[in-house]
Amino acid sequence: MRREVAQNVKPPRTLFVRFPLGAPLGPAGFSETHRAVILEALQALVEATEPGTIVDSARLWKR
Amino acid sequence: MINTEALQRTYNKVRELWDPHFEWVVNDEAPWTSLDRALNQTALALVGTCGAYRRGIDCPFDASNYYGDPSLKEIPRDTAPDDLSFAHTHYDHAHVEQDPNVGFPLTYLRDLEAEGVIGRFIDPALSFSGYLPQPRQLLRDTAPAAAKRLVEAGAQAALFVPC
Repeated sequence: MRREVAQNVKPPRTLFVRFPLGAPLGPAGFSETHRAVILEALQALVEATEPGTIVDSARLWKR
Repeated sequence: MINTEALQRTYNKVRELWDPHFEWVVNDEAPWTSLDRALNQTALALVGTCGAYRRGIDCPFDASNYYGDPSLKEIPRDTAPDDLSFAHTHYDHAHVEQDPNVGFPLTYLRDLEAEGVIGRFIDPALSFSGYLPQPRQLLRDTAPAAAKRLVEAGAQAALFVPC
């Protein structure tokens, strides 16, 4: 997903990951990455204070 | 609207190949509800747009429709990932076919509930197919019905996983 899509759609909170379409949580088989992305998103749920907040994930695409 | 070369390429491609009337949906503001409880007291729903459906049980999304399929599927939260297939022709399926939790993370949310990280994982999870150049029916009917369904099921927040 592209960052500018989130900027235009404006969800309440977004975790932006630099992963390709079709792999929103990361590469197949990388369960540690998948779980970490979900936890980052849940952290944004708890910590964001402004509507439309976009948090950039620290996770990298690794295969 | 924030436009980029990549968005413009997508816009041109959709109009040329599938829907000559396609326009982006741009929202003026973000909706907002503060989370008024701890995460481990929060009932969390899963909503995905990778086109997940239960193989042999659900009718697949009409992924070949140039105008998209605005329907909604309820996926029981205890569904085994290997029982899922994905109907959506606008992304590479290599990862979700090998590992369905990449696109519809039922297993991880069940695990986070069992570990006490979240309060509860709501049943059912909801699935859409995200290619939808004509979103009128989604905006008017399906999305409000989805929100109502999740609130009635007790959801206090939702994890939205896009494809």
